[in-house]
Amino acid sequence: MAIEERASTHVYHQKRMFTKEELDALEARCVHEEPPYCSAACPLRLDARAMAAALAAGDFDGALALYGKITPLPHILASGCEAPCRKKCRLGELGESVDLPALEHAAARFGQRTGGTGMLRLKKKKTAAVFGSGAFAAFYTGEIARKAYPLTVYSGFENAAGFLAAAAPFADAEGVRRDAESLEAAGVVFVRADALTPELYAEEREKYDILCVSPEFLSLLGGGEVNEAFMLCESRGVISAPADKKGVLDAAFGARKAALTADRLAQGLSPDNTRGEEGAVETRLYTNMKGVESSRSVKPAGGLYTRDEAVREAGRCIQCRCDECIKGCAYLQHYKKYPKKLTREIYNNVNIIMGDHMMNKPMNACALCSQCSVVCPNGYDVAEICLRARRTMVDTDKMPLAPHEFALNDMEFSNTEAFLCRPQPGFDKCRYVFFPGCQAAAIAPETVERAYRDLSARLPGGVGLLLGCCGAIAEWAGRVSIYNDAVKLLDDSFARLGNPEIIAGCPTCARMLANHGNVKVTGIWDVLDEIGLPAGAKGLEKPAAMHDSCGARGDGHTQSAVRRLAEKMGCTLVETEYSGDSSPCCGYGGLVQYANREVAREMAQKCVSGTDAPYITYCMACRDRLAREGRESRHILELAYGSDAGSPPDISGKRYNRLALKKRLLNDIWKETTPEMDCGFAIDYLPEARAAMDDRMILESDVTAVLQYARETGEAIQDCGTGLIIARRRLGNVTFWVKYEERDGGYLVHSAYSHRMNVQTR
Amino acid sequence: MTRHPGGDGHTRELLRLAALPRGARILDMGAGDGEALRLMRAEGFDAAGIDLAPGRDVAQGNMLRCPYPDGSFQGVLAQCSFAVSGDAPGAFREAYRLLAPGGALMYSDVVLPGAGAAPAAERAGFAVEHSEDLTAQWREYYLESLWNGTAESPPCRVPKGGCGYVMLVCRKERKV
Amino acid sequence: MADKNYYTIDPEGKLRCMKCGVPLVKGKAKFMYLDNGFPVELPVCPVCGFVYVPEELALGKVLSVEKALEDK
Repeated sequence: MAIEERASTHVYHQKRMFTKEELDALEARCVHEEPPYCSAACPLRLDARAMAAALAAGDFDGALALYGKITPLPHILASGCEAPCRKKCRLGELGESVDLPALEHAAARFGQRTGGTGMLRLKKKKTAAVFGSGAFAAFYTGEIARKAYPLTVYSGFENAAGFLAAAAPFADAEGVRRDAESLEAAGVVFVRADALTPELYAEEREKYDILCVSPEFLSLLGGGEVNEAFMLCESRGVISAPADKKGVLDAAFGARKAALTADRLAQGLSPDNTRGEEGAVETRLYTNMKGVESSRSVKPAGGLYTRDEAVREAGRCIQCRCDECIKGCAYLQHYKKYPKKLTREIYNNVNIIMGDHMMNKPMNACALCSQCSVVCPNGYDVAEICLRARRTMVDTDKMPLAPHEFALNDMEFSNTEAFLCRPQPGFDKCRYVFFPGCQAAAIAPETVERAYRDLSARLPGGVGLLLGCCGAIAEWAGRVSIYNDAVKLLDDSFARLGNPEIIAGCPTCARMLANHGNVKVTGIWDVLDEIGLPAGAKGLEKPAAMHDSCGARGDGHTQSAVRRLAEKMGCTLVETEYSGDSSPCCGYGGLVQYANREVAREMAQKCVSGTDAPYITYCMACRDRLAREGRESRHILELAYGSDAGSPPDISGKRYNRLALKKRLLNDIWKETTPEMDCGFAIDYLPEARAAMDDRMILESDVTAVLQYARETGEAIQDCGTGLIIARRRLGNVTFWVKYEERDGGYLVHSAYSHRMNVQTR
Repeated sequence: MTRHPGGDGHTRELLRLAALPRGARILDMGAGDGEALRLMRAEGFDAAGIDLAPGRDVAQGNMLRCPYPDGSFQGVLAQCSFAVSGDAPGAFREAYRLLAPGGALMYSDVVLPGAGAAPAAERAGFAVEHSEDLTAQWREYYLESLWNGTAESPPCRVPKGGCGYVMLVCRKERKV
Repeated sequence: MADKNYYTIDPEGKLRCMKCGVPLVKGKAKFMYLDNGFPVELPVCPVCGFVYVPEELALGKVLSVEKALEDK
C-alpha cells in the first residue's frame, strides 16, 4: 500500500460535503440555540435566563441592562406585565415557576442604568408626535424617545411624571418617577391640552413627520381600522393601537411594533420592510428535567423583594439549556462547541479551497462513536459530520497525512507482516473462524492463543484463525479505497476457508465484518454464553463496572450477553450513568489517540470517572486505554481464560506481540517455522529512549532500520562533546534520527526523533 | 505587523512609481497598524488611513464606504487589503471615486490563479501604468513569517499554492 | 533577493563526520515540505554532504511549521 504524501494543494475542484439544504436540515436537529421557554413566550423576547443568571450572581446592573434592552419603561412594565413567561417556566411543572416579574421589578429598583440616556445623541431629522395618553401611548413615547426622534406629546399632562402615572395606575410612585426621568432626559416635550380635539389635531399635525394617536383619541377622530401587525391605521396615515387590546404587555408589545413602523415610515420604506420575526414563538429547546426538584417561589417578607430575596429567587432558575451531548462527551467539552456550530465550522473548513484549515484538529478529534446521537433528543450525530468531512477532505486531496499515517501503517502491518489465515489443522474448510481483532493480538496475545485453542477444541466442524485488521482504521481515517482493499483481503481469506461463520473477539470488528454481506458474524461472548465458559474462568473479587465499547452501541443483545458472562464468572457489576447505548468512547475510536492525544486522554478519563471501581470491558482497545489511566481494567476474555495481559504495552510492544503471536502459533499449531528476522546485532535502549520513542510514535523497527543503514553505508556523525553517534534514514515520508553509542558489537540507544520535512544541501 | 511583503521598501517603490507631488493627499485603504501611513507622512505626504480594525493614527471605518468626498485624494495606497475586504471590485470602484483626476492607485495584493488584478482596475475606470508579478517575493515573505510563527490567520482565505501576488500602479486619467 | 537563513547553527568543530573523518561545518541547506522551501544553515559535512538536523530543531520549529503547512 502506498500512501502518497499530499504534494500540494493544487487540486481545487470542489467536491462538496453536503448541499446547503442537507446542511440546514442537519443543523436544524440541534436545538442548542433555541430560546428558553420564558423568552420564547415573551413577545418582547426578554432574555430572562440571562437576567436570572445575573441576578443570581448579585449583578443588578447587568440584570437591568438586559431588561432595559426590551423596554423603555422597566418599572412600569415590571409592575404590570401579565407575564406569559411564568406559564411556560419548566419549574412550574414541578412546583412554582420563577417569579420573573418580581425579579424584573427588583432589577429595576436596585440596578443602576449605565451608559447614556440618549441625551447627547444626535437627534434624528424626522419629527414625531403623540396625541393622547394611556399605556400604549406611554410605551410608544418611550420607544420613540430612545430612538432619538424629536418627540412632542399632546395630552392632558404637562410632564412625563403625570403622563406616566395616569398610564400606569398599577405602578408605584417611585417607579413612575424613575421611568419619567428617562423620558425627561431624552428631551420629550409635553404639551398640555385642556381638551384633545379633532381641531387641535388638524392644526398641530402638520408640524410632524410621524404621527401617533392613542386608541381613545382615534375613536374620537372617527375611528379607523388598525393593522395589528404594523400598528398602523392606514386610512388616516397614523400609528395607533387596536382598541380591544387592554393589557399592559399588549401595550408594550404594540408600542415596540409601532416604533419599528415609525422607523420604516421615516426612512420612506413600506412598514412591512424587513421587520424580522416579531412576537412570541414556539421553541424547540429541550431541557432534561432529571434531578430537578420541586420548589416554591421565595415570598417577600415585605411587599417587594429585598436584594437578598431576589438573588435567592433568581437562583431557583435552572437555566434551561440543551447540553445533553456536551455533558456526556469529552470531545465536545474540550472544544466547548455545540453540534450545530461545530457542524457549520467543519463544513466551512472542508470547503476552503485555498487557505487555512483551522478545523482539521476538531474534525479529527471526534471518536466517531455516535454517543451524541443517543443522548440528543433529536438524534444529532456528530460522527456523521466528522466522518463525512474526513472522506471529503481525502477525496479532494486536502487531508493531511500526518495525523493518521501511523495508524494506517499499523493497519498495513496487521494485514501484511502480522497477517495470519489458517484453517484448523486437519480441516480444509472450516465451519467457524476466530477473528480476535488486531488490538487483541497486540495487547493480550496470550489470551488470544488460549481463546483459539479453546474454541477449536470445543466447537465442531473446524475453527480457522484469522489475525488481521477489519479495516476500521481506514474507515475512521476517511480512506475509503484503503478500507475496500482490506475488505477484499478479508473476503478472499474467508472464501479460502470455506466462508465460515465469523466469531469476532471485538464488537467493532463484528460491526465492520457484518457489513460485508453474505457473512454470519457472532460475538465470542455469545458463543461462550452458549457452550459455557471454559474451566478456570474467574471474575474479579471486587465489584466492577462494565465499560461498554462504542462498537456495541445500539446492540443491546451484546451488552446483556457480556454482563451475563461476567456475572456467571462471579463478578458483581455496578452500573454507571453513561453506559450501554450512551457509553462514552475510550479514545481509541476515530483514531483520536493519534490525531489528538490530549482529547483522547480526556475521553479515557471520562470513562473511568463514573466510579472508583475497576472496569471490565469487552474490547481490547478499551481495556488498554482505561489501563493507561491507571485504572484496573480487564477484558472479559482475560477473566474467562485466566490470563492477565498486564500493563499496557508501548507501540513497539504492540507490534512485537502481533508478530510473536503469529510466529508462535504457526510454529506450535501449524508446525510451520518462519526464518529468524534478526538484524544480526544487539540493540538496547535507555529507559528515557523508550519513553521518547513511545511518545513520538517511533518503533523499534524504525530504529533498527536506521542502525542497519548506518552500518551498511557508514553514514553517521559523532558529537565530540557527548561522544554519541548520530545517524539517520528516510523511511517513507519520515526521516528518523537515532543517537546512540556502540557497545560490545551492538548499540545502546540514547534517543530517537523524527521529522517529515526533507532536508538537502543547497 | 504589516501584512505585505517587502515592508517599507515595497511601499517606497509604489510611491516612486506613482510619482505623486510632495504634500499630495494619500489615503491608505486598509491601513492596519498604520506603519505605511507613518512612512508616507515621513516622506512628506499628507496621508490618512482607514481600517475596520485600526491601529495608531488610523481612522475606524469600512474602506468600501469611505466617509470622504469624491476626488479628495491624489493617491490611494492598497496593500493586501482589497482581497480581504470581501469586495475587491467594489474596492477598486471606491478608490476610483476617491481619487482626483490624475491621481494614482498604488496596489499590491494576492490574486487567484489565472486571474489578475488589472481587469478589475480597468473596469473601475483606471489605466494600468505599471504591472509586476511579485509571487516569488510574496512566497518568501509568507514562508518566513510561517517559520517565525508570526503568520496571522487573516479574516478571509489566504490564497496559496497556485495563487500569485501582483503589484499595480494605476492612474485615474484626466478627461480631455 | 537577499540570501536569507531562517535558522543558523555553527557546529564549531564539535561534530565529526565518521564516514569522511572531517569536522562538520556550517553549511547551506534547505527544508522542503509540501512544495515549500525554507533556507537554513545547518552542520554539514563538506565532503559527503551529510546534513545534521538537531533534535531541538526537529521537535520544535520544524514540527510546528509542518503542522501549520498541513492545515493549509
